[in-house]
Amino acid sequence: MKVTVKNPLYDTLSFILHLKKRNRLFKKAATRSLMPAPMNLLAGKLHPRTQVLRITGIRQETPSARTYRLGPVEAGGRAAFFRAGQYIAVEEIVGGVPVSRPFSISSSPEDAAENNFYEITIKTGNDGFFAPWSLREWTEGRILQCSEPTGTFYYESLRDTSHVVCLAGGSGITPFRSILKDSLSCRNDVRFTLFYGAANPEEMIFGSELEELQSRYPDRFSLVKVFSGSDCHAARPEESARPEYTARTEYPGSPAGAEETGFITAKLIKRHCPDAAESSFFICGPREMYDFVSRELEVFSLSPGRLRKENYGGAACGSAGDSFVNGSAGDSYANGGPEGSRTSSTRPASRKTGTAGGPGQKKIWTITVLRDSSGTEGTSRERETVLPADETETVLTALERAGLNPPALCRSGECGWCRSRLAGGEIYVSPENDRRRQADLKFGWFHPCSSYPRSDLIIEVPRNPLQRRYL
Amino acid sequence: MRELRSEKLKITIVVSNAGSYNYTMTDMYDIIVLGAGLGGLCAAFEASGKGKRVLLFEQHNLPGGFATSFVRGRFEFEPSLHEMPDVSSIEEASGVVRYLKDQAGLDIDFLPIPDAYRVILTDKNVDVRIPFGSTALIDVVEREVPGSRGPVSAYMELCGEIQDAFGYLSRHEKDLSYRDLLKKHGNFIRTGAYTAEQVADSLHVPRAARDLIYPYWCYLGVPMGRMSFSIWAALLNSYISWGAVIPKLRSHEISSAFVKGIQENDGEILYNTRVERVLVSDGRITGVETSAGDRIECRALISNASPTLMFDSMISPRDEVPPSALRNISTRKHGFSLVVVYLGLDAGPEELGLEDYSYFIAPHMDTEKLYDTIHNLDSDGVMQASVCLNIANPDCSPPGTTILAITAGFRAEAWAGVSCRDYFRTKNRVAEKLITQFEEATNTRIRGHIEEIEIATPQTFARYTGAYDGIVYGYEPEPWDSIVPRALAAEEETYFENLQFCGGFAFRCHGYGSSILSGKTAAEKTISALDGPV
Repeated sequence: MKVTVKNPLYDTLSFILHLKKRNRLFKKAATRSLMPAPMNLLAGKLHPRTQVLRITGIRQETPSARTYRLGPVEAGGRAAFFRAGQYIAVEEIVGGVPVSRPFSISSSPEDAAENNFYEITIKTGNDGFFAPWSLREWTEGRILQCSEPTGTFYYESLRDTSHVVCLAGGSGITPFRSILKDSLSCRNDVRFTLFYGAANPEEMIFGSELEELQSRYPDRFSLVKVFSGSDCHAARPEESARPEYTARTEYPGSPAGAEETGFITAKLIKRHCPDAAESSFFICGPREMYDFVSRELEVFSLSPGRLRKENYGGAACGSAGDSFVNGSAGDSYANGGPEGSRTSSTRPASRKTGTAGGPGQKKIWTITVLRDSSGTEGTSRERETVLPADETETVLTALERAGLNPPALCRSGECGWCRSRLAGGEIYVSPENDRRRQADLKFGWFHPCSSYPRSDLIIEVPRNPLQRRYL
Repeated sequence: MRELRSEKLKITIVVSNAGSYNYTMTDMYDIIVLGAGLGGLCAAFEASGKGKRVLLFEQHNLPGGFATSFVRGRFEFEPSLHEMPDVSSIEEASGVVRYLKDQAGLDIDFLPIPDAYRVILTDKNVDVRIPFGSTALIDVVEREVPGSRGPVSAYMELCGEIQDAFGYLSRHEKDLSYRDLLKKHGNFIRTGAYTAEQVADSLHVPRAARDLIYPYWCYLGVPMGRMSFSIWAALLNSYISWGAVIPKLRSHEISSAFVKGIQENDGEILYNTRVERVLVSDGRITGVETSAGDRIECRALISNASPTLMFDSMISPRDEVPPSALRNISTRKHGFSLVVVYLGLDAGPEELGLEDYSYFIAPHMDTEKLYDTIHNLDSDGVMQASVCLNIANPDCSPPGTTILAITAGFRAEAWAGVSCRDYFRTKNRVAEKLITQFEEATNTRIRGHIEEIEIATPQTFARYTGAYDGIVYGYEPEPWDSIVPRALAAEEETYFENLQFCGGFAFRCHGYGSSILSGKTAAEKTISALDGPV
């Protein structure tokens, strides 16, 4: 077959004619700049890698909780827009080592857009070192190195039901304040019921604001305050000893919202939300609350997509898990659980230094961190840092404690920002927090923030792109 | 502050008083590769495999660029790959899968795609499943468009010849003679100047038959009236004749396999590090400066970043950029970007009624009109290319769930007016329309089953890959800017002798296969420039 498109001669000369056309076009072109590209600009505004923010105001919410208002340091700087429910990670130097903590943004996206600020709210308990440290150290004018807003704990109209049940415990209220302010003012196709567990009325963060929202949007927002009468969910109540709720003062639809005593049980949820089984649930609170509420919700047989938990680190929800400076148990071992997966790389670390601990004794392993990006065991590459790692603490915590400033955002295995290479050794990851990519499992990459050492490790950690230029 | 210096690695570690440290590097490499997209990964792999001291920079914390994956809830999504032509079983072929498996020896499991695609044209009452295999395709098209067998057979035969000619070209890169090419592959020469539409006209392919065989146009992103016939023919033929595959563990498996190979070759990769400036002195690239403050020298640079970014924003000092380079990038038409709606569904494909892997859905197959729709976010009648991953990869998500990705082309300009505040609302609006279009065309119900959803836009791609304006495709392959003119002009358009490009904006045009193989070519050219011809 001999194809003719226009005429045989022209067809045969095609390439030459095309080169001529190419050159002709280039010759008459301008040398104007194509920069900046609008999409790269938009990406930079929505997702700045670093935000340098100053504490511009402090509000005492309850005896144990404070709200910090943060605004950009740079003249003309903008607090990046976000989706209500997202968090920012704050990098600080505590006890001489750089650490990072995620905090849900408690203010609304509108406040970022209109008034150029975020608010984060921190509650102290007897758990962890960061919160009490920040309450001591953070004063107006302090400059904080922060991440972009990130996270997936937000209402999504294409996915979630038109009735959303929010379960908040303690400082777990923070993302809901943002979600409620945003959704109630910006959309009228979704209804929220918030069950807010606190020890007592004095410990309710944003209590009067929530009551105000309830009276302003009586058809779309129901507030149910649930007071435990003790340190809320601080201890896991035994099945038998669990105090049943008792209606104390109950005014459904009243301006102040309903008030209950006890814990957030299935029975209580059902009474306020007859359509609970067909609703989307959002949960944020301490781990003890997750465990309790998860069991309670079993009766509704919710599909996994109807149950969304904010897992971000300890700090975002005010739970334990960040206590290495004061030396108590670190990222709770209970994060794991005996039935989780064990991952071992193809190259087990050679040295075993784990001290066989008796009951109550911790095992200490050794982590060798390859700073250079190509080393594998057996090559001549230098191993730069050798550090101890407690079996009950995450690899990330061990790296931070050693002052390595590894990249970290969510601290719960989800975002993958700390993704590192496991060149040798064995780690433990609880299935609940295991969000590794399948190819990462195949090729030996892991998330230090959700991994516990089970042997000596050889790892390679990428550099942290957050630069401390302003600190 | 104190400074530690390690002579061996020449890494300067600055330990601040607070105990934290950032490390900056000062060093010299044979080859720096800029960007760990598929082209950059392949270039770094090839160059390090030839014993060169190679450093690969990546601004993100993951390798791959578009070739990656992400996890939401129970689902791990494929961000960009629909399918790669499979030539692994054909002895003579020099395709990308064969390269990855046999030549590069990478550890990647590939799974076959069952059928080519299902094309649904809602205004024209067309709903046809197109099989792989030239003969099978011709039979189906004849059944749907009686009388089309003759011209469609001739058309497919011609496409096969074009593909063979490309094979001939790559085998004779060094001893190519125009006379031999004309003698052995005359039709390649004779159709090279034309658009895909002009050649279909000359063979009298009926319009209704074109409707069935044109859907792959969206993989190249230029309407058929402007698309280079050569590149179109090669693409159509490679899919239809050879079938297609996907990696089992999403594209991240390809990227990770390359990373492993680079490590084994003693190449180095620095993640979370953006190259801010490419240093030039007397017309030669001398090194780079990075966002972390590294200043590293090199003998040659291979750029996975586009010529647009390189010449218009990276070369330092700027007056080292020849005006001809700036004219080049402002003349060529930048390709389009995409909106992708990633859906994790809480029901299995059977329950949902999803039987096909690849769906091309549009009101019609007038590619000029379809191309027009990509300029406006609220256009009606867009074309979508949607993939139900479970059909080819049943284990990609837990039992009783489905991964569905709906993709539509949009030019970045369509998003230019969207503010930060409107961004999330806007992308939801666009996504909802695409989901509805899918449901109506396939008569399925998706909305009530969405367990996880993510929506990627040009902004998303700009964010994660750094690509100029979030563009997914490279320069549009019109006949004057298709592979052959780019290859023939390569020497004349080499603006820095120790700078080669790879990736979707390089001479092979865009797509997974082209991007990967362009990295191989860039490494070979760079090495022969460094070492002299072998």
